[in-house]
Amino acid sequence: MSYHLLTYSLIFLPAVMLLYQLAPEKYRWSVLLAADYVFFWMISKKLIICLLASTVITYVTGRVLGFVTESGKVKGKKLTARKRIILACGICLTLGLLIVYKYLRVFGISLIAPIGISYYTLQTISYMMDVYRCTIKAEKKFAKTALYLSFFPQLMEGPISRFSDVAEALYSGKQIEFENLVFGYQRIIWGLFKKMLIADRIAPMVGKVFNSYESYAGSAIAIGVICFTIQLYMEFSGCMDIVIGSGQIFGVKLPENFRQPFFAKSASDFWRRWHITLGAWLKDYVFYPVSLAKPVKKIGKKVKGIWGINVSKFVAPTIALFFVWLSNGIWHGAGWTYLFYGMYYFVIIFLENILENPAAKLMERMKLSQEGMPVKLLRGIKLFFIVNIGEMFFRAPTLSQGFGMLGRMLTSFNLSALFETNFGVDGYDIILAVVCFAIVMVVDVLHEKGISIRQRIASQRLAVRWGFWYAAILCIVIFGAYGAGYTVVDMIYAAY
Amino acid sequence: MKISKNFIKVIGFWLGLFVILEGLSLAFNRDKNIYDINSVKCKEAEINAEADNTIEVIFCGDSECYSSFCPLQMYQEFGFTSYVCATSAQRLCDTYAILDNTFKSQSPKVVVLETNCLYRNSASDCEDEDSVMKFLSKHMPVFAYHSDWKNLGGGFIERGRSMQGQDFKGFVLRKSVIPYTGGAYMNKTDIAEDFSDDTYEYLDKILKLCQEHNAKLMLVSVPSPKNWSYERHNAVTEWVKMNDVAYVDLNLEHNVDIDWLTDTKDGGDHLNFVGAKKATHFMGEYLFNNYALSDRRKNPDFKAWEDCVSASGEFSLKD
Repeated sequence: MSYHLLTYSLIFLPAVMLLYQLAPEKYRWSVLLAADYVFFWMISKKLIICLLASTVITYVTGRVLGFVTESGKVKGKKLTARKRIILACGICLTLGLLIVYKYLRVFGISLIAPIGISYYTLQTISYMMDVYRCTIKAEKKFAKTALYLSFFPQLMEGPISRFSDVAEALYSGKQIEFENLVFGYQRIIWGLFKKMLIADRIAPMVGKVFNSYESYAGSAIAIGVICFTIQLYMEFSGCMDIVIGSGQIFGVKLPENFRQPFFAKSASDFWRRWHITLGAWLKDYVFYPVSLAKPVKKIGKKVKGIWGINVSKFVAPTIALFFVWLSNGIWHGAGWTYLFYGMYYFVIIFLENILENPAAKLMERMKLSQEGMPVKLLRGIKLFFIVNIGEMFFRAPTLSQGFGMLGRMLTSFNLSALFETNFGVDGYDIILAVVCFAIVMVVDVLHEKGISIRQRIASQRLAVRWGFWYAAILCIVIFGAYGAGYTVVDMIYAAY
Repeated sequence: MKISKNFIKVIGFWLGLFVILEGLSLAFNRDKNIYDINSVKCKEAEINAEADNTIEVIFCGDSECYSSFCPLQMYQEFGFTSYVCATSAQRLCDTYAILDNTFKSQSPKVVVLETNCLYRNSASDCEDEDSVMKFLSKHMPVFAYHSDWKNLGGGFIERGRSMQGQDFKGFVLRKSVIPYTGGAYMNKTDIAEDFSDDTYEYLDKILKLCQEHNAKLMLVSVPSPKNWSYERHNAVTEWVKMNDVAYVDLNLEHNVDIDWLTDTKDGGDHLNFVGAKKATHFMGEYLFNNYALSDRRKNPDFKAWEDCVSASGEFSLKD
């Protein structure tokens, strides 16, 4: 079972909807919870025990934290110290499960990880930390905590939601509204369009280039790398469309994970638009705690004494930034490529931070406007290289192969070789992928301008509305990359 | 009232969609005995581009086949002409369709069928992990044959050679190396892993087709620890004995001398270029010694082959 399969959107989801709608309002949450665990069982079978264990740990930690805070028996520093110990125990236990299943392979022990462990573990930590910080109250109902951690649409690939944002809607058992049903399915269709028409269509090109880059000229490798960036965006954002659409059907507003990332102005802006919920999680639970930590403050003070405030103001954010990107890299997996990927962005964003003011001054002297076309163009080119090189190392089987690809692009680019290259897809597929990608980009431009296409379509006459959605469905049926000659590719981010 | 109105809308939408898909299914209905029509058409275009009656050996099968046999090397070493008509995950129904087309313009003396495809689904049924998609593909041709859109209007993009940048006569050159370290895999046994009924049926049809066109059918298993076993070897041996067909299992031929640390591209699934050179040399020698194949190297009518060999120099075919 996976979100991009029709079994999910045409059998599993409608079945859950039907049972949910038939159940009395106060028991609807139990239908969702049962669906969550059935969904998990269908993919990870016995490993459901891990999800259950994480849920119990999270719930108990939250309850104990809540009890210690509310009982009033200890106060002040003692309370903080006790809460810290409880929090540390809770985090160590859930994080321990993640380490066992995901990172022991570094030592040659390879275990099949439960699906979505990387995502729901981050949710367990955010819940426990929010209770510790008193930004939310510890949940008394175990079912509510369990629902929050296991909601089936977001189980495999996120988005990483916060308890305060979704728990109430999940538990409320409101009936399915027609508008939510229609809008939810429309979003699912859009997700399938991205996945089946673009991501799966160009997947063979990407696989061929990354699996045997030695056989390709630098220009062909560059095309393979660009295609991977597109594939990843189409696939991950497409999956998020399916996930968010599924949530919307049940009246659960899941957070957006993408906001037109290719229109970003810088690498840091890109990460505010790409995998948004991971970035937000790292900001709240790594960046702030690290930058406010006493040892970091001490270092800042020392630097201030030696080099002054202009240098010291960068110290705490830079140290925190380092841990953010280290965490980002490690979260993606146990591999040097992921670590490099994290450090790559750390260096780039660090440079962006320290060069921001000098660059602004330089532009002022040169009388160049930030919003002028030349600056926009240069910014776009810079980001294009940053993002694609980053994704190249992210996807490369090993770090040395990543450098090998980069070296080949720099030393034997040979543009003419491109026309002689076998990418494993025919001309029709290339044309279709380009056209569909252009459609997605047009939609992104409209979204960037704040125009909601779904709302526009919804305001049209029935014949126009239905005609549009029939056309969209038929595009997927006829032009989708499935069946003979194609391979349906598993969701990339479900593996993280 | 509102609920029933919305309910009617939902039913109406789905009914409309059903009618449209049924209508389109009429347009997308076709010869159901071909599975991957685009690969078949592509391969047909390639073989049709060859000069008539110039190919003496045709290789069929899946990726195991097109990764293992290099016609240009066989031409260089032994002088006979051959063409690899293998396609990715080729099913026997597609093998039959390709061969049927090939016999219209070529008169091969030998048809070599690589055996890995005998353990695939041989018929044109849809296989999909998505059970809904499988159901729809079975009952609505628009799902099963949707990629036929590429052939509407006769196809506006030229086919032929589209799988290859260079003209390697169907061989796909792969240079990467991922070693196989699993050790011996051909463990002797009397057990046979039978084919499906469809496979037996198509094997008989292919044999009959070859006989009708005076071509000898032979089966070959290329070295592949990931795909081959003694059980499979036994099943093929049983069939070839019953049908008086030649069979060479390169997994048991020590003369091929495959080094699994250097000769496979993906940990024992496919041979890479180094492995292919060894398999090609062995098969070239076998074919030349066992069938009356002609040495065309000094024949001016085959200058195009010489040109192909020269053009492929970049990939060190001679090494």
